[in-house]
Amino acid sequence: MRALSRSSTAILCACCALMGYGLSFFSDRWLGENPQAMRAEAALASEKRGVDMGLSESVTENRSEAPVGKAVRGVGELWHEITQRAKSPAEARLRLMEAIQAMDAVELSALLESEVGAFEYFRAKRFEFQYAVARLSEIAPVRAAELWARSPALRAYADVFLAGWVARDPGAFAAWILAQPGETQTAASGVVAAMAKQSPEQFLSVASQMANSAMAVSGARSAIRGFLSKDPNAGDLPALMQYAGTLPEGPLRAAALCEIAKAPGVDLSQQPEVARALVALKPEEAREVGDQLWKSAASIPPSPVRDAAFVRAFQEHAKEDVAAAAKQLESMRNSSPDYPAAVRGFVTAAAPKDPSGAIEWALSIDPSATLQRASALEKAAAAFFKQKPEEARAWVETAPLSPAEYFQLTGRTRSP
Amino acid sequence: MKPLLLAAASLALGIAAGRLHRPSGLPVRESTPRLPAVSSKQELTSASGMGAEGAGSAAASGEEDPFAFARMPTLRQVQILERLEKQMGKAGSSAGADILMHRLLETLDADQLAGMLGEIPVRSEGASPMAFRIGERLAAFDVERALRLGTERGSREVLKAAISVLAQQDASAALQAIAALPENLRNKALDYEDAAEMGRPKGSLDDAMATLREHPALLQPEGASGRAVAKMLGQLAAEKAVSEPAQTLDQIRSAVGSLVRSNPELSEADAAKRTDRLVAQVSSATVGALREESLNHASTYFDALKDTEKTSWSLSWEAVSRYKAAGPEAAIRFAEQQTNPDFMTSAASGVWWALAKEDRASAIAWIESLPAGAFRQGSLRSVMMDAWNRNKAWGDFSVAVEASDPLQSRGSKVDYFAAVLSDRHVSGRDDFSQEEMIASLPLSEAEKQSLRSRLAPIRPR
Repeated sequence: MRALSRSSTAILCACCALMGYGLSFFSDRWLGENPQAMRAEAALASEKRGVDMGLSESVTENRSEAPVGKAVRGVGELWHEITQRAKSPAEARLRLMEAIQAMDAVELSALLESEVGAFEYFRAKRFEFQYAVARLSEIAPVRAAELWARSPALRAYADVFLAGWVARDPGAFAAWILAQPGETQTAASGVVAAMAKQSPEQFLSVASQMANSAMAVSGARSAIRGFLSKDPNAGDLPALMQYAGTLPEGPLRAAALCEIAKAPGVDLSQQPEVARALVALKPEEAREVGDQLWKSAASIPPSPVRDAAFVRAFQEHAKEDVAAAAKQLESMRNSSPDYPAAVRGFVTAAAPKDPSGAIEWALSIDPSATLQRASALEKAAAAFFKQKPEEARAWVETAPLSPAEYFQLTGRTRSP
Repeated sequence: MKPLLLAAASLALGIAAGRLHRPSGLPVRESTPRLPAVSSKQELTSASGMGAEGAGSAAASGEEDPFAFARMPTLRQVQILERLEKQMGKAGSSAGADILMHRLLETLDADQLAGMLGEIPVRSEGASPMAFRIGERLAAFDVERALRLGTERGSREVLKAAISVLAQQDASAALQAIAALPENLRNKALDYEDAAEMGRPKGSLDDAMATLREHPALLQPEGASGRAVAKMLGQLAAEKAVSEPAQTLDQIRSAVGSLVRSNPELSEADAAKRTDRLVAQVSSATVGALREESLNHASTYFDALKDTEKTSWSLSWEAVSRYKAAGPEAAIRFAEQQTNPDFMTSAASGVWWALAKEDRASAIAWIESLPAGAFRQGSLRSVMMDAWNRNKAWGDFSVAVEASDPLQSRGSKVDYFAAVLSDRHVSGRDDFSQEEMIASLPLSEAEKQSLRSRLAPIRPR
C-alpha cells in the first residue's frame, strides 16, 4: 500500500512537473508577457525615468575630474578607425557608441574640442560627432553647452548640444543661458521653444526665471502652439487663457495671447485681452502675426496687425480670383480704412501678371497712407521694370508721383 | 499534505525547466552572446531611462539575460523601440537611448528584423531613426532583403539604410539598386541632405561610370536622387584625384558629357550647360572629400575647374580652405584673382568669415580699409551671414540690422545695409517692402536717401 502511495505520489509529481513545463509556454500570456519585458516597459513608460536621464550628472561630475591618462584623438579619426575594422555600418555605429560611452567627460570634451575649430561646420553634421555631443550633453551638460557657446561654427547645432539638457533640467539650463551674451541667448531660442512646445508645463517652471529674455518670448508662443498641436480645434480656449494668465505679465503673456489669436474659431470681440495684445504689437511683429491672421482680418481692431492681415488677405484673394478681388476693392474705395492695405496685397499678387494694371491700383492709394502706397508702388514698378524696362522708364517720367515717390522709384530727382 | 507539497514543487520545477528550455516561441540565436561591457551599468541604464533589471538594460550592460528582448513578441519589441526613438528625438538627442536601441537590435536575427519592419507604420513625413537602424542592421545580414522590404513597404528609411550599406561595399551595386527602384521611391529614398550621412562609398569610378551609362537618367542635376548620385560619384573620384587631379576631372567631364548628350532632345548649348552643372555637383563632392585628406590637393583640383563648373558658394568655401592652409594673404590673393564679380564677392565673404573667426574686431576694422567694389560688398555680406549664424537666426532682419552696430564708419553702415537689402531682394524675402525696411533703419534721412538711390527699382539705361 505504501509502495503504491509512493508511486502515486511520484506519478502525481511527474504529471505536475510536465504540466508546469507545458504551462511555461503559456505563462507569457497569463502573466501579460515576459516579466523582464514588463519591467523594461514599466521603466520606459515612466516619465520620471525619461526626465531623470540627465541625473547621472552626479556620476559625471565626479568622473569629469578623473585623469585622462590616454591619448585623445578626434572623433572623426576614431570613427575612421572603427569603420575600417567593422563588418558593417551598423556594427561600426555600435562600436563607436561603445567607445564613446566608455569615455569620461574630460576625454569626451577633448575628443570633441580637437574637431571644433572655426571651420568645421559640416563635420559637425555627421553622426559620430553628434553622437559624441549627445553623450557629453548627458554626462556633463555644462561642458557641452560651453563648447557650443564658444564655437560660433556650431551654432546651427543648438539642438544637438542643448536640447537634451533643456528637457531634463530646464532650471539649470535657464541659469546657465541667462549668463551668456545676447547673441548666444538668441541662438538658444529654438531649443527653449521646442521644450515649451513639447511640454508647456515644464516651460512654466522657468518662465519667471527667463521672463526678461527674448528666448522666453519664443517659448511662450511655442507653449501655446504645443497646446494647439494637441488640440487643433482649440476646444479648450479657457485652459489656454488660463495658461497665458499664469505667465509673467509683459512680453511673455502678450506673446502667448497673440498666439491664442491664431487658434481657429477665436472670436476677438469675446477676448478683449487677446485683442489688446494684438494692438500693442510693434510694427515688425505685427507684420508677422497679421500675416498669419489674414482669415480673420476683419475682426482685428484697427492696428498694424489688422493692416498686415488685410495685405495678406487680398494677396490670397487676388491669387485665387483677381477679378473678384478687384471688384471687392472697388467697393472699398473711398469708404474703407482698410483700402490701402488691401490694395497693397492685391498689387503684390497681381504685379507679376499685369504690372501696368498693378501700378494703376497702387496709384489709387491715398498719399496719406504713405508706407502702404510706397510699398505697393515699389512692388508694381519692380515687376514692370523687370518685364518691360523701356516702358517702365517712360511711364515713370509722366506718372502722377510726388517728388519723394519719383526718387524712391528711380533714385533721382525729377528734372524740371 | 506531503504529496500535495511535492506536487506543487514539481509543478514549479516544471515551469522553471520549461522557461529555461525555451522561454518564448521566438527563434533564439545559436551563438552565445558576448556583448561588450560598458563603463558603468548604472550610468547607462540611467541615461537610457530603462530600469536596471529590464530586458533592455540587460542587453545594454552585457549582464543577466541579454536576449530577453529577442524573445519578446515582435509587436512588443517595436513598442519598446518606438519609446526609445521618442526619447532620442523629442526630449533632445539621447545617446543612452540610441546605444540601447543598437544593442537591442544586435540581439535580433534577420528574420526578426524583417518581422519588425512589417509592424512599423511607414511615416510619410519626418525621419524615423528606428526604421533606419532596423534597415541598416537587416542590410548587414542581407542587403537584398532590406532593399526588397524597403521597396515593398515604400519605406524611405529602410531603403536609405540599405543603399547606404551597399554603397559602402560597392558604389556601382548601389547605383544598380537605385536604378531598380520605382521612380516614385528614388527621390524619396535619397535626398541630398541624407547623402551627407550615407558614409563614404567604395569601389571603382570606372565601374560606377559604366553603371551610369546603362542608366543615364540616374544623374540628374534637378532631382534629389540625382544630386545624391552626383555626390556618390564625386566622393568616389576623390581617391583618384589625389594623384591625378587633371585626369580625374577630364574623366568626369567626358563621362558626364557623354551621358548628357545621350539625350537627343537637348540642344548643343543646353547639353553644355547641363554638363557644366553636373560636373560642378560632382566636383563639389570631390573637393569636399579631398579637403578631409589634404587642403592642397583640394585646391589643386578646384583650380582645374572652369568658372562654369563652379558654384558661387564654392568660392566662399575655397577661400576659407586657402585661409586655413596658407593664411590670410593666400586667401585674399585667391579672392582678388577672381574676374567674375559674383565670384569675387563670394570669395571675399569666405575671407572675411575666416578672418572673423580668428579676430572679429580686427576683421570689422579691416573693412574700413577696403575700397568700394565687389570685395568690400562680399565682406559686408559676410558680416550679415556671420550674425545670422552666431544668432542661429537665418534671414532675420532685426538680427541683420543689429549686426551693423560694430561697423566703424557711416559709409560702411550704408554699404552694409545695401548688401542686406540686396540679399533680401535676391532671395525673395518680401515680408517687408524695401521702403518699409529703409524707413526702419538706424540711419539719417540723407543716408536713407542714399540707399533709395542705390536700390531704386527703375534703373537708368
